[in-house]
Amino acid sequence: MPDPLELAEYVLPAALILIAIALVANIVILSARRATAPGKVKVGPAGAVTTAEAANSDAALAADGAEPAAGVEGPPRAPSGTKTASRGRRASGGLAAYATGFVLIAFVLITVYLGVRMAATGHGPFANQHEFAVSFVWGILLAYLVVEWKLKLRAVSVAVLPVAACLTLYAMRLDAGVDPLVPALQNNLLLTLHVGFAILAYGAACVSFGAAVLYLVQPRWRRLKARPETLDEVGYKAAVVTFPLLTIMIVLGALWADTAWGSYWSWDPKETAALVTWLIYGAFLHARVARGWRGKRAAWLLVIGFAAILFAYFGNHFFGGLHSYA
Amino acid sequence: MTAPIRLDDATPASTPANIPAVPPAVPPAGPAASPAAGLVGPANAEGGPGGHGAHDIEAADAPPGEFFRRIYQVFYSKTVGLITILALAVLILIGALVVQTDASTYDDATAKAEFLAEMRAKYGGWTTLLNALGLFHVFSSIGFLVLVGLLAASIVACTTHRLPRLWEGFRHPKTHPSDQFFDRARYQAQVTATEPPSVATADVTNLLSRLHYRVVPDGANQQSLYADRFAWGGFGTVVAHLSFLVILAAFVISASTGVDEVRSLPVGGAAVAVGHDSGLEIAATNFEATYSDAGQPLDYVSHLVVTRDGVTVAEQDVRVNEPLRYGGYKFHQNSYGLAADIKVTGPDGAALVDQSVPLQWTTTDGTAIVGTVELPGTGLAVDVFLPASGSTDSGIEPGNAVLRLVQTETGETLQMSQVQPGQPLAVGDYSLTFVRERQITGVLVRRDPGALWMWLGSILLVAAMCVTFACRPRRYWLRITPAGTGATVRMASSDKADSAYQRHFNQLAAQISQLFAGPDTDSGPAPKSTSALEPEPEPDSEPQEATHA
Ligand code: HEM
Repeated sequence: MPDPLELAEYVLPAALILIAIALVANIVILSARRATAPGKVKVGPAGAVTTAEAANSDAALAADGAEPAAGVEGPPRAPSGTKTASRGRRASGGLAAYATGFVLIAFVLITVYLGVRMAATGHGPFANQHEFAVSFVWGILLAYLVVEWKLKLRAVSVAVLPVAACLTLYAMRLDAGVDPLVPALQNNLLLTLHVGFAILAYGAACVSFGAAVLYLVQPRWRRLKARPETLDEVGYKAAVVTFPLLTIMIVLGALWADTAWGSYWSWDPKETAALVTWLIYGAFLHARVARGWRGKRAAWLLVIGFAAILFAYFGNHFFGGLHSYA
Repeated sequence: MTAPIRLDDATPASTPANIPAVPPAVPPAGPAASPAAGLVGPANAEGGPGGHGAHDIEAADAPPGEFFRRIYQVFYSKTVGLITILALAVLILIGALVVQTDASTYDDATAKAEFLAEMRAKYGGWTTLLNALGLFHVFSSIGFLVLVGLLAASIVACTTHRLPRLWEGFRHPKTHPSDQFFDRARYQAQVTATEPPSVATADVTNLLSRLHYRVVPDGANQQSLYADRFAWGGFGTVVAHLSFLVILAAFVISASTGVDEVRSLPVGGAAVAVGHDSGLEIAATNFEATYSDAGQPLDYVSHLVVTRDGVTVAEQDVRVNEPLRYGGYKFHQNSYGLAADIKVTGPDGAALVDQSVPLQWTTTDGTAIVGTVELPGTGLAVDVFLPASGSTDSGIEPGNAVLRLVQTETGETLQMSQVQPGQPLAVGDYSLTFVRERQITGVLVRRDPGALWMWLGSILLVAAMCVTFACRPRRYWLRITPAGTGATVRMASSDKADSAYQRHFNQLAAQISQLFAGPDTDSGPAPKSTSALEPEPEPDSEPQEATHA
């Protein structure tokens, strides 16, 4: 069994470098897009109504090697799941495969590290800030990979990977030592589930944050052509995943508190911060059905929501409470 | 923002051409933004997840003077609900940032003054404002309670307002849209069939049924169909909202009923009555704290015995994460410490006190721990001092205690002496004995009738949310018209722009198309489907019943 401490020394810098390279590659791919992509003709029953811009924006998404999320014409393509970069863009298509591959390798490395660590400690990654920071990175990479695979939206990486990189750096600077668990944390199942859902929720939230950031900067970053509708939709979808996960996380936390401390809610700062986060994501979902709140305002709510997650996460630096361990 | 602007196919020709000169997905608020597909009048039905956005307040015109109706309208407004949620988030955030104190601190004038002085050192001039706004006890402040009340009212109003429409849309879906709807809807597809319309209609109906769609024929038109899946999905949000109310109710029940008390049990000592008239007594027979070599706590275990009328009804090793549960009560390991067994006899030789006195405080210099016990009916109290753990400068010999007899009224010390265990100290007519040192364990006694509702509401909320998100209603309208010897199948749907919705729509179109691609047709007719994530015209583009057949 490899020593987790030793492993950390290699795995985390390696993951950091891979993430950084993938980020650079993605920026190159995304800003290398030109309007030269084969235009698509959109045929409607009322006759073909296609503007150049429309064709470009469809192509912009397709240039990713993606089946366009919108503007589909004709029978739906078989879901390919594989890269089908159009001719003439082989170079960036190849680069895209590398970029995704690097993220995937970073993800696998971190998975192995967490696995070894869990085997060594005999409990989930919740005992200290280091473990949780690494898990956070894991969750972000997982969510990003799923989005890239399912929705083919490479663009979000520009906002998501820097967050993952910063957290990896942060994890590297923290004490990676393995300490015995304080009594309150000795409830393996509940805590592992609680933290597991937190990680998944935070990962999804990071993706929706990425989509929202791009939605907001997109008008100014002209070369990054990702359709705002697509960004909006990805932001929403990720939030739709985030919200139930957050809910489950909070409920499990309450269940644990009820077992460990005898009451399911005690307004401890960390759970309070989690509630704030939950309300913001709830507000976001409602913003989309409330008039005048769609679009930019909703995107801002996603940015604020992720800020709230970071606040809840780094909260122990601001407030002391029952949660002072992780 | 110069996002691509495309004249939506669904835009009626009469709409001014300057419509979405705004970023897509941010529909302008003006009336120009309502080129709702195929609308023949104001929308009045719930159109799936998309709701009835625009018609919050405007649509239902209130008869003048109807005060309550106005209020109701305020509450079911989505904007009001949204702002309430955000305001609550802000207030709660303040509660996470600002030091919070127990509501009980404010009940006690000296405790309050002390607390505020402490806060003044931290927050300076802001203290007055924070205090005035109740921000030192946000979660019992008026503002907080009002906001939670508003949220609850808003949820009730939203739900009662929506439910009838939702039900109506589910029971009696619009089955007969106008012809224009098929040209203007966000999602459209067209398939040509070689079969005559009646056969094509039957085939399509079969296919839809096979795919678990509910198919409702259009009464006015033989060759027109309405089909939906997960039409009940919209009720998921209703359940989600109601379950949130259950959770709120759980908080109220928890706060207003139940038992929440900490009991110090002398280990190996007498049983203590718990709860209000519960008839239960608990005793601790053993306590152990384990530490790592580095001094980190590893485990606290108390062995608790619960008795009723002297009969043991439950017993268990209680740890931080393993409370004992019995008869609706939970007993939690809460704290631990030391006690001194004290025996005091009065002038008549009768025992005034014979009990374990928890040593709950530490002297200001930190060298000794202190407990106190009153001598009933005498106006006197005994303070007991033992050396604090690890302290060698308390001046108390290990194993000994210091006893002090004080006048409770004046605080005057009558006598203070170091004693050995078992040796009586005579002070006037009183005899004070420090019998022995004893471990105590603090047990939190809980009975929380709200908890059940909390878990029930939570499970329901999560389940309803998942149903809402996983079972989005799909509503399709189909119209089959003669075309030469064959037929044309037109399919349309209006919903929020959503690529998953579109994928399902296209999939169905493809399946229908395959239906008519007979083996002898070498080039199977492909469905022509158009749909795009367009600048959203209006979320509620529910087709309207055409006024004439
Ligand atoms: C904090 C408490 C609340 C929770 C947990 C909650 C939960 C939800 C969820 C999960 C959805 C589905 C969102 C989606 O489909 O994207 C939803 C939709 C909705 N909520 Fe709430 N909600 C809350 C408060 C409110 C309030 C106060 C109102 C009234 C103003 C409201 C009105 C609505 C409406 C109208 C919808 C749209 C329904 C639809 O799309 O068919 N909700 N809510």
